[in-house]
Amino acid sequence: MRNELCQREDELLNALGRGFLGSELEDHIVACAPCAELHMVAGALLDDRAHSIAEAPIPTSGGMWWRMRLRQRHDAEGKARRSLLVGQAATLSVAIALMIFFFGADLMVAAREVVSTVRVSTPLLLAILTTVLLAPIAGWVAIRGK
Amino acid sequence: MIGKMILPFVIRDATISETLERESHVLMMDEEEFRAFYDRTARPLWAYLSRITGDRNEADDVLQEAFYRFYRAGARHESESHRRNSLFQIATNIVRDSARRAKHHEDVPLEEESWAGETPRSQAPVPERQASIRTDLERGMKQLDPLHREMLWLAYAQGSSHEEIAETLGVRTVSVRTTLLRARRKLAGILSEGRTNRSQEAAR
Repeated sequence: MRNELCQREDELLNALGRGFLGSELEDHIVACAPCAELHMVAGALLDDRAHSIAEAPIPTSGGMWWRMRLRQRHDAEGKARRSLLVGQAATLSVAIALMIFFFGADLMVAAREVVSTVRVSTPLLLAILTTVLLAPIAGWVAIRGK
Repeated sequence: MIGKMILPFVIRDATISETLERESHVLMMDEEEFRAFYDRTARPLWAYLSRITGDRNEADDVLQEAFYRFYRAGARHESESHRRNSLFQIATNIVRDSARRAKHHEDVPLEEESWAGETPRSQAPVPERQASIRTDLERGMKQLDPLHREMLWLAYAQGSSHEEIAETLGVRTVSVRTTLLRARRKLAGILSEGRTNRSQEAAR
């Protein structure tokens, strides 16, 4: 690949940006291959930019500011909700851990007594235990949903 | 007793106002500053995005996302050009991420999308020759690598320096010159081809 550049490329770019080349530079472009290439490419891009800028369907700055504030508030709500959820989960975990720590042994004894007294079948006992465990979680989910 | 023991473990609920207040301590722009910056940069940014994505709707979406992320970042910049480069950098990264996701989901490739036949939303009268050049440019840009598209636009349409291009696109400054030259040569070839085809058609 040829790698040569012309020393007048910056001058040409400035002239293209101004929108006026001048006869001397135009003559140079005809004779200089890198400048002719640059003229073609940069000229097309600058022209395209001018048209795109004119037809850009952008919202007004006021509208954009309002949307951003709205979205920021929405994001803040999401963040707050996530923190709340983490807090609730942590509280629940700590509460269960403390219950087991302080009353675990008593609860186990009581449970054994109940089982031996009632003498229920294993499937029924499993159903009762599941209900007892899931009911508070279901209640918590229902409250959170509201 | 248990309540007292649990309390220290409970994470304090972050309310929305607290979150917003915390964020306001980040150096965010105020409304006046933001609107002035937006008025100066939104149209050039949209022009850049519409060309590097080849999709006007995507340009609309990326524009909004880029301004939002720029605003949320709340960074202070040394100069106006640094601030503008930062915005263009965010926008470029969004486009790249989106392209990566589209590739992953095997979406319609860029080459198949087109707004050549689409009616511009704001129709300024464009002379026929200029319209042909724009069509050639659009076709040519779509044939280039994304990095070449971005670099050509920033260098020649946006007038960015090699250092600014390197900063915006996350490449080394020394590689900008050669990559730019390669991209320029390729686009020039496509534009010349379009010009030759038009001349031949006119001659028939």
